[in-house]
Amino acid sequence: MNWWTSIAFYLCRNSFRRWIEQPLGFLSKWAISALIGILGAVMIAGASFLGDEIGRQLASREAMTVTMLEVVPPKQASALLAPDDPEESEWEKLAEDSMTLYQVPAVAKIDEIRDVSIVAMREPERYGFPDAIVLITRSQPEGSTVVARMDTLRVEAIAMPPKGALLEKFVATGELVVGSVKRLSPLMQNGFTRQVLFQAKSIEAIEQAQKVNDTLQAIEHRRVSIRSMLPLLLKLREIRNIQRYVLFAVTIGSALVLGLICGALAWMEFREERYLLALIRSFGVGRVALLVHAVVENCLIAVTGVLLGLAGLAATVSQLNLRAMKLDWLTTQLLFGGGTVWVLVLGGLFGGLLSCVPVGIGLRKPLGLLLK
Amino acid sequence: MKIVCHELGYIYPGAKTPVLSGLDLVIEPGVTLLKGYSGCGKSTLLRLLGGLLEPCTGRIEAPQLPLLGSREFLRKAFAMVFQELNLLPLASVWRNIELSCRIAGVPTEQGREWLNLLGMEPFADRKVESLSGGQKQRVAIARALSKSPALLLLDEPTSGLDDHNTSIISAAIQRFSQGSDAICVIASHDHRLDPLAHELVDFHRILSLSE
Repeated sequence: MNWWTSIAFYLCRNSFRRWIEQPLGFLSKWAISALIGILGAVMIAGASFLGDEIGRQLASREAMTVTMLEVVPPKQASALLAPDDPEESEWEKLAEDSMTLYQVPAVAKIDEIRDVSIVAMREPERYGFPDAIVLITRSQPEGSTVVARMDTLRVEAIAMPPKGALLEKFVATGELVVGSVKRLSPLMQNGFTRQVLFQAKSIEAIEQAQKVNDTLQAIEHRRVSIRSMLPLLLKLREIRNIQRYVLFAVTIGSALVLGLICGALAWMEFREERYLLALIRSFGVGRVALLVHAVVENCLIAVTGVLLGLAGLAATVSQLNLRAMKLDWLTTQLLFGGGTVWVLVLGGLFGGLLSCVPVGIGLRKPLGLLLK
Repeated sequence: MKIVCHELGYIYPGAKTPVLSGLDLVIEPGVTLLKGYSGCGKSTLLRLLGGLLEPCTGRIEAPQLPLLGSREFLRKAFAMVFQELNLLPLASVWRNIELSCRIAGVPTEQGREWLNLLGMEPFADRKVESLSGGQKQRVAIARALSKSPALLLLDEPTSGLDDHNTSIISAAIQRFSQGSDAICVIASHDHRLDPLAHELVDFHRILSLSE
């Protein structure tokens, strides 16, 4: 056996003896690690749940839907009805899905009974409609025809259900008469309301749309308004960022608390053993070897303590009726999945490492001041 | 081989007066016995000679030895018997000796010989904790000698020991010093060790002169 193996073996034996003779120090370190592991897991689970929930809200279609409304007066109507509208393609860049509708300031009389709003589309075929007047409705069979009177114009409209998420949302439970811009242009000469519906790719895209909107208003003096959940989304994004910081702080904080408490205990143990360690150093064994032993011992206790705490928590969670306690969000996946165990084990290692700082400082003391 | 101390001074942290000041001393191979009253700095000088303390002033020159206090020096060239806690309490007598020999890189048979000479061979498998004070001190000396150190420092090696233990220890030290050109420095009040000394340093007188 090498001398350093002998020394390592002796130090291990010495540690075991200490654990048996003075179990309080060892058990305290273990209990603190376990407790911090449990608290850390619950706090990380809470923060993760909050983050996931915010993420789900942010990703939902409702949150990212933006509507831009522009009232176009008669004198600007022809310019915006040009065959190619460059603005449309600009919105498409910001959107996953977009649709531009031109709402005519008139209504269609369907079967001389009910009034339905009229919108024009630049390319109805793009949205799955024929190049005809279409009544978008859910109450009549697809393909059936109705008579639609629009001002002096009488046409047969084909009944169709709404197509695409944006149009479905726009129509909601009502009805809508749709036709191409070309067909409905006579009705649009007196102005119209242009509505751009789009599903934004990201919060940044909505911010960009807002900027464009502000520019149109400020420079071109156009009557544009935008409807979005941007203020709420920005708040949610801020909360999500805070949640990430909290998660980081919880991990670091747990490790620091673990390190400080275990460090205090390790220092007390070191004070009791400093003569022995000094004697070993006087044989020519380096400080680093003794420090490595302390690091291994403390990290081992901290990590096994954390794992023990997590195992205890898993056992407790499996036995509790979390639904009855209104804690059903506290799932095993949330508690132990997503790298939580690794994060806490790393926290335990960091804590164990930190707890050896006082030992490292103590080992710097000259041998001559220790050995008598 | 010799050790030369120039203007050596040391003050303990927090103390107001130095324990050693302006000490000049040359230590030759053989046994040097440091005598003087308690607290005059004998033990401090031993720690300075072993590099266990850094002198506050002055310097120690030992050109034939590795750097004082270095790991190489502590492992191979140096052995010291302290007044207290000399042995690894959990290990057996033999493990204490064996470990010391392995660290120093010397054959363990050497340790067996010294253990035998100091009359501790029958106790080789005993736990150190179960030994008497005199037996522990004999084991500590056996361990120190088994390294064949170039510098052997003994701090009150026989204090509180009976004549029997003292004579065994004296004989071992004498044998060690006769068989090598090592430097052996003993700090002791014990007059029973006086016959061992090649040189007897009255520490009190040196300090008075240096002041």
